[in-house]
Amino acid sequence: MKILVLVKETFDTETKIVLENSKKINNEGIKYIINPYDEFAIEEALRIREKFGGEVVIYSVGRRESEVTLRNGLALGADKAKLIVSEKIDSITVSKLLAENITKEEFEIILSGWIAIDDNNAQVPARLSQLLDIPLVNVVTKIDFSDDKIICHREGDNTVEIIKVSPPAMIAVQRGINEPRYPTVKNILQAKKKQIDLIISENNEDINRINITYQLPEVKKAGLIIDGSKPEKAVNILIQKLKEAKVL
Amino acid sequence: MDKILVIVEHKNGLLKKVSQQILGFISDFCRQSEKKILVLIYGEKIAERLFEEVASWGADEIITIENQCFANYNPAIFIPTIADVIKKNSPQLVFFGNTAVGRDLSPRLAQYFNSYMISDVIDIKIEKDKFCFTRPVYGGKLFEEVETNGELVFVTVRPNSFGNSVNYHKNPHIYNIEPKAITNFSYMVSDILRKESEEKSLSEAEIIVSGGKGLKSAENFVLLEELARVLGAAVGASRSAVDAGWRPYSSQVGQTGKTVKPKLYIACGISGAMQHLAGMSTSQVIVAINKDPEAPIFKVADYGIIGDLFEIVPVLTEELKKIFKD
Ligand SMILES: Cc1cc2nc3c(=O)[nH]c(=O)nc-3n(C[C@H](O)[C@H](O)[C@H](O)COP(=O)(O)OP(=O)(O)OC[C@H]3O[C@@H](n4cnc5c(N)ncnc54)[C@H](O)[C@@H]3O)c2cc1C
Repeated sequence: MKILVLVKETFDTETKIVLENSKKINNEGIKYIINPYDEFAIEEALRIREKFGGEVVIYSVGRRESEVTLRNGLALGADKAKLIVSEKIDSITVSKLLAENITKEEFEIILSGWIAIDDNNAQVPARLSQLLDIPLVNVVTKIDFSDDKIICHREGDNTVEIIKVSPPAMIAVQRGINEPRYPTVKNILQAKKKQIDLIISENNEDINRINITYQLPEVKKAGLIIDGSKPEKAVNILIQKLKEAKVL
Repeated sequence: MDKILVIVEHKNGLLKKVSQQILGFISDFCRQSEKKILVLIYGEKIAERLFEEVASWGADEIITIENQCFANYNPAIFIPTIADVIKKNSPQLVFFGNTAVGRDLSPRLAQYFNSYMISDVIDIKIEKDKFCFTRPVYGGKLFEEVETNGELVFVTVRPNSFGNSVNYHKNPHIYNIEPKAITNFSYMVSDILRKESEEKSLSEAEIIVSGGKGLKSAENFVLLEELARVLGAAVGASRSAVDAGWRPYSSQVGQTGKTVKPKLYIACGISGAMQHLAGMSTSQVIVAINKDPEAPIFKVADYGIIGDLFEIVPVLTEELKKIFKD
């Protein structure tokens, strides 16, 4: 089985965001990680390969330097990686670039995280599946195989939907699907020798039909801290305040 | 005339809260503008009182797809028919709640029309004909403001982003459309499992009581369930509590869990790690109960009690019971 895994490089979750100006985030000294949801996708791909054999290929769109981050994916056990180098990484551009390159591949499954923790967009899986004209099961917490079908548990609002699709298909995974492994020393060493193909994108048309600016959240003014050594007293103050704030 | 299409969801014959919040907001705005509000309701059966509810939010047109094929969400079935509605009406904006359906359907339709989509919006400013959408990115550490220029854009709105609006009755034009014949059977919904207890949906809850590592065991969550029952709240958890196996993944709040925006968020025994704050920092009022005065949760809390949750929470539950009895 050939499995493609879409991986996005994101800021580490501990990162403090600093703005250079209202249009640009300062990325000096930032630590980068694989988007945590994509880690679940890599793990799931490895498990499928362990069961059925095959190949796991990482696909990513991003800056040239994200090669370093992608190596971490190879260290987990993926076979190789392809990095489409692009300055623009909005959902529309990324989906288009991925589609252009993936149409040239033979594959059974594309796996990805359902959302990226940086842009909070959750659009690429849907857009890419439309462009490739393959089914997408979104926000998946379990994958099974039965005959030639893929059976997914998709998270609904208070429900679990059981969805059946046939390969080639795309599955965007949700936390809960697995517990990602840690890289072994052997795999880290091997990853250094694994291949990362660089694909330079020519697609740089700037459509700019919308205007995006950034703003840091207002710093919250300090809250009221209540000493809880006398629970009754503390609770009464709290309830009084919540009533005044009209949330009770 | 410019049109705005709102695709609503309903349950037990009532609009879902997020749908109602979107309609309320749009109707407040459309009262002062020339824009028309179109509302799309789908389902196997559409209750009569839904029409009244939607009409009370100033809808100009209600389009229904009342059909068995629309009983359960299936994008392969939904897209052709809804795309048709969009083509025929050419709205400027298409709104969804940021729900399991909205999150999935909206980007698919956006791609279908080669349009922009603005995900997880928490505020909208409207000036003349310009819309400016605010959405949290980087786990709420930054806000993105997106200004559109009038072309078709798809928008999902985070539940509880808009407050109460005033009803504005209209007599909408109501008509039903038939689903388009399906040619694509590549996506099959073979079953839907409902969660045993009709637990309150975290993302739509107005009040959330959340517990972390400080709860010390799965059993102790009874304390929070009690408090939640009195408040009519949902129970959430930190990742540590989920990882310990005390709560299901579905109740995790944070960067790799649910993003919530309740009126009131009560964090008990949660330290307030950045990844947790990512999921709840846009809550209207935050209460923290923690015995460590240095816990970072106090930095975002509007009201914090420094103390032992095992002493504070039962008292809080009892006192609230008294209030709600009166
Ligand atoms: C990639 C990544 C993603 C993550 N995603 C998430 C996420 O989505 N959601 C999330 O929550 N975390 C997430 N985390 C984990 C996060 O970093 C923290 O580890 C986690 O939130 C800590 O949970 P906690 O506050 O319950 O536990 P702790 O940090 O251990 O805090 C427990 C708190 O309880 C207090 N306490 C103990 N006993 C009592 C008592 N008797 N009375 C009152 N207070 C008491 C303590 O003072 C302490 O502050 C993520 C981490 C990473 C690396």
